[in-house]
Amino acid sequence: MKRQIWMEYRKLWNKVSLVAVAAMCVVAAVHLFVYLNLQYRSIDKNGELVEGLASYWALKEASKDLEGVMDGEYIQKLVASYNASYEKEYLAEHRGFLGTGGMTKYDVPNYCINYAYFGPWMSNGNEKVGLDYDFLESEESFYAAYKEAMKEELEEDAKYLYWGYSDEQHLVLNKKADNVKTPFTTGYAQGLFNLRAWFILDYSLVFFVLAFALAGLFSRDSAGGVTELTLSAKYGRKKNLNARWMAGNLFSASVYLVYLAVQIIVNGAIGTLAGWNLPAQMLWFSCLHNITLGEGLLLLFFGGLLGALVIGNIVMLFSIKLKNGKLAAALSVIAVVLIRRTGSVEGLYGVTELFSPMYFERDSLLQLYRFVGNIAVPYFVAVPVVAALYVAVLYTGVRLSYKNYHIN
Amino acid sequence: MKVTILECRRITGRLILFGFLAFVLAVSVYDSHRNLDRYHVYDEQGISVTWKDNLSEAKSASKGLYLDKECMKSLREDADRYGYLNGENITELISGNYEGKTLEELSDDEMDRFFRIRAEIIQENLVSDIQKGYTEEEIEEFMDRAESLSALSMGYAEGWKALEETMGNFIFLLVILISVLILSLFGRDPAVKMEEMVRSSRYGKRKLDRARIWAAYLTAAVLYACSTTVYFLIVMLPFGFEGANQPIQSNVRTFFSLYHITYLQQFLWNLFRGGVVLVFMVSLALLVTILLKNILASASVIAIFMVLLVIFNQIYLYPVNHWFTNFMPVRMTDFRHFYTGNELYRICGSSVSCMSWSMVVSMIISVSFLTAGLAALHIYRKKGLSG
Repeated sequence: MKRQIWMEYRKLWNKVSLVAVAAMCVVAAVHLFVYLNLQYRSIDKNGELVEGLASYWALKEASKDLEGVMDGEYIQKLVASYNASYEKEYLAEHRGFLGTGGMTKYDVPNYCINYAYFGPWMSNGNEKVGLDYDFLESEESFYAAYKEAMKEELEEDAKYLYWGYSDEQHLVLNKKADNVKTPFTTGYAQGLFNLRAWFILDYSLVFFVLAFALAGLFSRDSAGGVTELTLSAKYGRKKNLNARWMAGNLFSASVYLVYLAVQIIVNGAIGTLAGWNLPAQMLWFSCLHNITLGEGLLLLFFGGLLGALVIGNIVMLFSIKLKNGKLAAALSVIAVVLIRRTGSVEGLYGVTELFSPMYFERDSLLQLYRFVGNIAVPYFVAVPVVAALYVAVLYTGVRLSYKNYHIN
Repeated sequence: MKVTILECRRITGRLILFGFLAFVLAVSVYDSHRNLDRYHVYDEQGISVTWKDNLSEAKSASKGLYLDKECMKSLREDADRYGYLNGENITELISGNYEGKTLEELSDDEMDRFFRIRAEIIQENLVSDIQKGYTEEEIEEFMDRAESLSALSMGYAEGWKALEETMGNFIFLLVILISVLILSLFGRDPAVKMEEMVRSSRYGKRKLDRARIWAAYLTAAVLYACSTTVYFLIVMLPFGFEGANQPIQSNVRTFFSLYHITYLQQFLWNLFRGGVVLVFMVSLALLVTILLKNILASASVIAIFMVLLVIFNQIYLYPVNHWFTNFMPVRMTDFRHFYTGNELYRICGSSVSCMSWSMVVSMIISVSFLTAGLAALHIYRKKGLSG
């Protein structure tokens, strides 16, 4: 069986999939290079403005001064350093700097502190980096304010959530907020921030590749598709079609991993992967899990893998039901376009995030919960369950067509 | 010619034509429905005035209506003077022109200076646009055009406004669908092994290649013309065709446009621009299938290229738009920014509008694609490659 799966897997790497995967890699890399180069600029350690790809290294160098644990002493030093800094002066003169791709070494710690003040209304921008807050007097008061902001965001978020949270459920979540480990460690992580953003932005490319590459798997009109020979063996038919399904899943995972590799390599080369051991709160302010930034990203990547598998299975189902490669590809592309647009349906916040494969790799994995009784199940646990259900249903659909597969 | 027609018929089989027609009808009806939906007036109980009543009232009340001081004054005295819809249209324009002020807050002097204020806002926007970096002469030229608007007819033209709203998206989808049909001209189907036979004919090779290229453009043009006619009729019929000669400035979305043209002209320009995009996509589809030969591989390249354009469109970055996406199908069919963006290209010392330059560049790229495709076909013929 292993050998058969391997053979089917190799057949899937044909001209169509190679061309599509190559196009995907080129698009993902070009998108990163062009946008990271044109959009970003930073202030280096000498107070000079550095533009383009070099701005990340300059920022990394400059950020070394501010790395450390955000305890009481650190916060006092940070306030003193920021108030006397060139950056503060520069931001006062250039109002749109941070909102338009500008970066300074103060962004990460200052945004974290400003979250404690703005809570659900936090965003990036010049007006949200100031350090003129009473709660900065002590470590305890800062983290108390921070946790209050988390609770406030949970409450605000619940207003828009399709199924909301009950008062008791809020208590459970608030307790989680109280248990978030403090003090935080801070430092440079812009490369990882970019990785997260671009990974999500270009993720649907994987779906399009799968739509074309897997459409011919069970078709009778493509070179590697099903032929009379495949169907003529009494026991081989089921075995072969099963092997094809396994190979299809393996292929979906491979395409996804290629995409992920491009994102990690290019982002690693441009902004480096430094900062993976900072707490997740440096990126997801309201994250209630005590995990690192790196672990948070791994969860997102895992969600992405699930999304790719679900789409792979949808395409395979189209392929075996329609038996026509071109038609299956066309329908798969339409399905992918529709799935890509699931977010535009209003009033389903929380539902889309749980059920749409397009959202399996989003921040909601770390930020949203589904309650079973009073047990909070984070989306990174709920989404795999939903994905497994999808795959099981789709696999059943594929299996049902095994016996009735006829060439003519 | 006979071969060309045969090739045309090959790619437009009965089933394909039926599917194509179904698509055009479905999108047209959907867009028409979506447009009409916006004209219902709602209250707590649901729809209080239907689009039909709303539009017919607006039609009769807007005869000879001009947006001037007299109109503003009488509207202030009696909000229903020109009917609900005309009142809404005028209020929107006033809010845009006076930066959020309502009719009640306007002084007599401000009403008098309606067009002067419009020109001042345009000037302010031009001067403050650092990215585009207009020269003084350019601003002067723009301002001459801005100041030339001294009267604004507000006659009924809701059909044309609705058409402008949704047409870009329809043309984008249409052009993609047509280019997908073209793929099967040069793309080879592994199940139909005709290629060897074609290549072994002595005189047929060149003739067939040419016929296929003609067939591609001919089919595309016919499908484009028919589909846009169907779309135009379905979207416009419920609204009526009145208002073709009204200025596009009476639409709040193009109020600040410096192109003083009518809705009919705008529609024709958009139609032509769509045609340019069609030529681009057909040329691209031809080149890709000639090079890759496989239908699905070609389709995947085109699809991923389209995804690239869509994701490039998600983040606004001036240099990317200015030097690349302005000439590409996604932004080329996003018609409105050509009328209101005032983007310029400096070519050989003179300033050329994005409106015309984008079409020139797009055509040049199309011709290059076609030339490259023809060259590839020539090489294949000379070397006798069947791929």
